[in-house]
Amino acid sequence: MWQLIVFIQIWFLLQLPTPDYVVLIINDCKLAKYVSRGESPERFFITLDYKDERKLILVGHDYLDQTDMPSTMSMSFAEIQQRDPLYTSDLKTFEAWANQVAYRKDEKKIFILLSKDYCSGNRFITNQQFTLYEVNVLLQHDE
Amino acid sequence: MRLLFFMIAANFMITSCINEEPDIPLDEFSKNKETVLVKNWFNDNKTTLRLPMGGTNFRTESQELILPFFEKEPDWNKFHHYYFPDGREVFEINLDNDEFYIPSSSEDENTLKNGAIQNIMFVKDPLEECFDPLIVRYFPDDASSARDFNDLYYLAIDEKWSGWIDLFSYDEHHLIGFRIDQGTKVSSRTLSQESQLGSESSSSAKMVYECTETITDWYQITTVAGSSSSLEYLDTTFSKECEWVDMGGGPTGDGVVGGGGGSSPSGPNPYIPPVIPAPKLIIEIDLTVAKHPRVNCIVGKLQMSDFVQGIASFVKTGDLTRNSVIKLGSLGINGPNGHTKMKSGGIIEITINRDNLDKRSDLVIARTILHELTHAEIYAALKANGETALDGDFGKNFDKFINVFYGSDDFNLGGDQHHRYMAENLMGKMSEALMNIHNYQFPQDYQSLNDLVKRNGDYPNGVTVEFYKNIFWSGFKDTFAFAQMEEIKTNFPISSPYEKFARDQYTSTLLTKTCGN
Repeated sequence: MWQLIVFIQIWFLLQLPTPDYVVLIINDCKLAKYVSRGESPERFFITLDYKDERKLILVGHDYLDQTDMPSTMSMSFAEIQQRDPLYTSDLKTFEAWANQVAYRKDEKKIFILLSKDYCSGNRFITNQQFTLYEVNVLLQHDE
Repeated sequence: MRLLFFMIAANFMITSCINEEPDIPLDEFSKNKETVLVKNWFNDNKTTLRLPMGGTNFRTESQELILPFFEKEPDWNKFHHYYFPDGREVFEINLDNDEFYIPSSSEDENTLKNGAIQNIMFVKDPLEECFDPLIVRYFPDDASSARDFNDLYYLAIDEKWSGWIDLFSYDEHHLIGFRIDQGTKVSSRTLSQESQLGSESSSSAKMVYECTETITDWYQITTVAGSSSSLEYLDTTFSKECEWVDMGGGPTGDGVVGGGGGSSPSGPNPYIPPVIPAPKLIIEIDLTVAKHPRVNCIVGKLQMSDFVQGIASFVKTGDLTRNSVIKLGSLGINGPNGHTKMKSGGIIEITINRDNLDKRSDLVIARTILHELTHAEIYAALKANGETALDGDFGKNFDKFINVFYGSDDFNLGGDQHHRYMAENLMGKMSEALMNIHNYQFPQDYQSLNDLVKRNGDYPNGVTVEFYKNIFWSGFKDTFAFAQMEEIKTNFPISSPYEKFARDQYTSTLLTKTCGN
């Protein structure tokens, strides 16, 4: 019986809840263009115009109705790195954007670290807190 | 006959194309710019739209049928907006009059109950700000062809409708009638006081022109509070219905009766009524769509669009009258939103990608379906020697976009001929159609969008057709037109067309209400 109890405890330890979000770092510093849609609360979209098969990718933090307002969270860069973040510079194909970001099978939410934060050098400051923004992602499919 | 043509021509010479600068209140104008324009023109000119001698007599020496005139009272809230195949713009508006004419005594009141409709068509002059008014009356054969105003108009005769469509001048000269059987025009008629049979015939080696005669009594019926109250005999006419009968092959010239006429104030050309093309696309709604509540809902709303009705009618799964099919299919998460292809056997197949539907708003799904419908209509137009409600000069315009037009592949314009043609010729019509669909069929979504674009300052006075153009651009990215648009630069803070395209694309993703919920 005691083996069963130990097993269950170990099993539960192995089943620690994984976060229901993925962090995406916008590290295409020159390519990413930030377009403000309002400051309080901060609303924006970012264009990533790759001019290749990825075409124009739009990443935005905005809402139609107050009740649909996307969330934000605060994290240090060290904490972000512990979340095993994705980097836009690593998403080199349309398929990668589709499978890892826009149409994830696990349907995890996407939170981004803005390029203006990542590219500023602030990430090297100890315990500097960054705001992560929940976003929706639009890919341009052919028709 | 010459007298008939002379009178009709004189009628339109006198009454049409009177230039008036409409005085349009700004707030009303913005609500419905086009119908207000027609309404103002009509109000300014209606007293001059009749022949000077137009009176109560309905018969002249010319033997033509002229019914008693009554002042026309258009119901401006009930209108269709479309284009004739030759490109002329048409506003067809329901008449709210109690007076109505019916062509036989046998069905009298039942004819009205069976869905007879009388409308006034304003055919816009291609060159000037004026219109040619025509009265069009739809006389269904029986209750199975009864239709509401919304379901029947001159370019949207469905495949199940049978009856007569008669055209009259504004002051009730009968011009021509068309016999429609199951959505297909099978013959035409002119009306005369005396028998015409045998007065005209023609034949060729392969075709025989056969005529039959029908005697018709005309009655005026006046309704009060929706029910008929009086029936007055007017006249008896003889109509000669002629059709070409194919005795051994050869083209029939189907689909072209008259056309290209219009009323010109500068010449005595007889007025020739416009053509009646039957809808070319008969689209079967595949079970994959019928069983998908959201997409089926969107397709249902698209069917209400005048633009869509001008090019297509929809039938249920399994209806073998179809020449096209719309279905949901798996085109892959990385695949296109939709595609259209001509299959063996001539069936045009429209496939909407089901793999990314959940991430797309109703508006952009509707856009994709409109985009694919237009591809399908282009295929159908190519099969029909260029006849299409999309474009009165389709052949010429479409041929401009063959690849050699741009010299060589060095232009890096990989877009196909369809997309190039659509981007440069149809963007306006498609965008206007999508805006109307959004406004009238998705009113809550449309209102939310308006609130958003006003709040963001993108469209301070509310969304315009430019927004819907920007939504359509995403399907034309590989075209010369898109490349030109992309090249236009502006200085901050003015957004470039490309920046507006990106902005509006993004905005469209924020619409979250789903059709049917």
